[in-house]
Amino acid sequence: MVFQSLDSLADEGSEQLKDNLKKDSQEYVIRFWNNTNGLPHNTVYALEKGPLGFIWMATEEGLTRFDGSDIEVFNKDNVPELIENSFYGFFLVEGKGIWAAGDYSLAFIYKNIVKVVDCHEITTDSWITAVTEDHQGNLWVGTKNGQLFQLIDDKFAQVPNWLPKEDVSIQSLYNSGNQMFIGTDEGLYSMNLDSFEYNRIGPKDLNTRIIFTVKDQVYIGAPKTGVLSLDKSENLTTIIPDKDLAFLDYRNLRVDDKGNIWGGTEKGELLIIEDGKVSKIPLLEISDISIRKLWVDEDMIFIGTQGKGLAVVRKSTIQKLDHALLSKQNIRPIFISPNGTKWIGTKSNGLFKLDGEKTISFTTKTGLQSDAIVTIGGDDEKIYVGTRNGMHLINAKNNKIERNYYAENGFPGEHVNTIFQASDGKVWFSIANKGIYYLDDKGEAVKVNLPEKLQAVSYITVQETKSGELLYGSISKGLVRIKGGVFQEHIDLPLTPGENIIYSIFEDHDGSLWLGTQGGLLWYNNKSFKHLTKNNGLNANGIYSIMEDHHGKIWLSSNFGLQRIAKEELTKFKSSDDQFFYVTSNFYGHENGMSNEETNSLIYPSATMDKNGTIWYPTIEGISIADPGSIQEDRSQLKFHWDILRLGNSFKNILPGQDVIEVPADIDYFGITFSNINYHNPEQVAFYYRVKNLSEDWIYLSDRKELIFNSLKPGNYSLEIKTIELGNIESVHSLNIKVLPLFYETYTFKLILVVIGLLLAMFLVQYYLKVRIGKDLERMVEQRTHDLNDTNQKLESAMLEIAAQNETLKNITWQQSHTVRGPLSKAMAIVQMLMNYSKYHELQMSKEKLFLELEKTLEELDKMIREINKKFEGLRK
Amino acid sequence: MAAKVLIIDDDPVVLLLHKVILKEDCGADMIACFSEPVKALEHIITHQEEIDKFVILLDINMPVMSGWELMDALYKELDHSQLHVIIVSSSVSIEDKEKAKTYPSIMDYWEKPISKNNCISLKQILESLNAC
Repeated sequence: MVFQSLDSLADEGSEQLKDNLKKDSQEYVIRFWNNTNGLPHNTVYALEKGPLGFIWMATEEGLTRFDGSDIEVFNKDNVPELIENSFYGFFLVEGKGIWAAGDYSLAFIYKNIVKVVDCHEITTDSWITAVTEDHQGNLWVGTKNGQLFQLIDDKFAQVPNWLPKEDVSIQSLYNSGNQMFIGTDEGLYSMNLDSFEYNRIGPKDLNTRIIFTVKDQVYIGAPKTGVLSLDKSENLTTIIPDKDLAFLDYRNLRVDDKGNIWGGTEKGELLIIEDGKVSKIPLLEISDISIRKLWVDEDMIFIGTQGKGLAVVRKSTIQKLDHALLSKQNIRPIFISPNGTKWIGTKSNGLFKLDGEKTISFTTKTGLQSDAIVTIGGDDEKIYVGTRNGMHLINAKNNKIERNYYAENGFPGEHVNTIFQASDGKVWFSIANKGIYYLDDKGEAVKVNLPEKLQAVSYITVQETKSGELLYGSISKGLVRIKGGVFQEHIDLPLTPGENIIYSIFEDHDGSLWLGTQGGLLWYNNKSFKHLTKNNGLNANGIYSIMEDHHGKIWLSSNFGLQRIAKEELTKFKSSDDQFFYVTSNFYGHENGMSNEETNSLIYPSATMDKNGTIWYPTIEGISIADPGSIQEDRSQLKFHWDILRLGNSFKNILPGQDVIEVPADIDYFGITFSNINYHNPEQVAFYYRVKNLSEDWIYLSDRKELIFNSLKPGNYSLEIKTIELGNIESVHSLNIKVLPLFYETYTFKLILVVIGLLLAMFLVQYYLKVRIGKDLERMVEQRTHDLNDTNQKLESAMLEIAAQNETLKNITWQQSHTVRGPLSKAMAIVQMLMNYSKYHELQMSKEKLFLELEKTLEELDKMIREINKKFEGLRK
Repeated sequence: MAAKVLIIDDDPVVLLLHKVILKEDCGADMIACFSEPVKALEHIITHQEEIDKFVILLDINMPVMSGWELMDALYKELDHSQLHVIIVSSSVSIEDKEKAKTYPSIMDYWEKPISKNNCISLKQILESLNAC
């Protein structure tokens, strides 16, 4: 095993992934996406990066779209236009989209599935093998049985003049100006698109699997021949012979933006053709797995495999120290001396000195009192090593142990917690439960005079301030300030006993202090503390180290990996009164390349920065190295897209540029998905949203990319998504949502309702009035009726009276005509007798008798008239 | 057989006076006077074979039986087609005159006292009856 230069390893962190890969040093991380985490099928037949930046993959279970963290599947279930789910080929139309070929259909992809073309008529007994667009934008489709079609006005037409031989397959099509290159398994052809005349280029048995260009230079990939270049005069030259490209699947040849040609083999290896030379990179994780397709970005490779899904290879953010002896060890303190020599302590295997490519180990076998190293300090010449059982002084020049400090020879204790050489050159150390010491000129231990309660204390970390003071952090006794060996101040921590452990101390540029404790991060300023814990966004409550890089970031280590916080974020925290302050930050763990996420504590130092600004972290499994300067913060890669509007069970694309969506009235709930293309820091992006009309507060979405809205009232809303990457505000994206009202919720309807209401009210009023008037009338009528009845009765009685009077009158009349006239006529007759008395001989009455009779009759008459008069008087009443 | 006049009136003086007037002024030979209508009814019924020769002068207002009641009794007991009745009443009421018209047998309505004209018409009636 050859140890490489550790310095150069660290330096190379910012170089190309290619070089990292080529170095055979595992300086890449590979992450898989398969049917356990979103991919519908583990074989990726085709893979292409679309114009919007999504990585698209073709599988037998649908077309899939990858944005760095999520895979969206498009199949017949959610895209009814699709005729089939199985797709095998992708054909990129630069800047426009991707044609995906299935067994008997083509689908055009942009952000989603834009168009589907039924190809049944041209795929009888065959299938689509090549697709391209010509210079006029017409689609060309080649088939397995050598047929060549143009799609014009949505109808397939055979390309004129093209007469394939029997058993020839079209394998690739490439358009260049008015020239179409037609690659078959039996020769490459060039067709003039004006005349449709074509001629063969090169040998007739050339199996033209792929045609591609690098910087306007056309290349051909031909199995059994190799990679060939095609010049303007249509001459073919072999660049790389096939024998140098063993197991290459020619279909996946690909050019990166630097002009290098990449390919993948059936053995899970990457091939890089660079300046005419081939490098082979075996990827252990996919060894013996066929690479079907790949896409190479500047620092990322997307590999579609047969059986293992999508493999995303990228340069590690955090490096692992690749060292045969140390990679798997439980590493304790790491000390880097000014000249760059690394001194590495382990938990139980002693001390290692890495000097250039040399490694020297120190163990109990070579003179150490203990193999459990706790602390290392010193300079280029003298190295002090603290163990569980005393301290050693090692001469860094000759690697000899020059002095042993044991309890037996007068050393005041056993377990050395810290060793620290201050800027004045004096060596300070602390011993478990024994307080703080320094070495005098003769190398003898001298105890620092501390108040009694601070003497039998374990001081486990130390920090020299700019003013030359030493700050010691203890287990359970807080912080002690020493100047010139003299105790200055004791600062107690506002923590519970279990949390009251200071693992690390950091002096801010303003002189305030940050303490990494078991109870979180404490900021000490003006004799008061402010507290950051997991609740405020810390990765863990036990903060083992606090380091400031040269890029404005603070790095924390814990049992859960590394956390990077922008200093501005801490400045914000300092002035914030919000007890729910949430610190935005980045986490680095196993997925970023850490050898192990569990860093070590109760050692000193617990993290070390080398002269290049690279931070070395001891973990329970090897050393993890963070190079803050190499961390990609290229935000141009960020691409936010509103994606799909889900209305109940139906899906609607939100088109690029569309900023308003309408939600029909009868939808109870709807979902809006978005995607954020980010291949570099997919884990480092957090999303927040708010619906402006409902709340001004941002709601944390974590990495969720779907919003479900329930029973949103009709109206216009403004949905905003805020993406925060790497602890900085990235961008805010808004989408207007128009929730349409049901007919009874429309203004028109409400207006109608109001009108109806008014009419009803009017009607009611009228009705009421009517009723009241009616009642009044009724009452009046009743009154009138009553009156009338009264009158009637009166009339009736009057009538009766009248009738009675009438009767009386009648009687009177009758009496007049009968009774009165009786005596009257009698009297008249008697008078007549008397007057003619001489004449009537027969009369047997004397005149006297007649007169008497007359008188009697008149008296009778008189009597009657008096009676009548009496009756009249009765009527007059 | 000569026609016979029957005078029915409850007042004996009037009965006498009318008998004299009829005899003297109207030339009636055969006159029978009844002051009680019931007696007159008996007479008529017993002499009903001569009824066509009777001219009955009937007063209306009479006690026990009025002229109308007598008429009704006659209509009830006899073939009234041969009956000749003249109402002689002191009543001048139209009512009585109208009622009289409802009896076909009543030939005329005279208001008391009997006038010369009444005598003339009776003469003619008697002459016509005698002529038969």
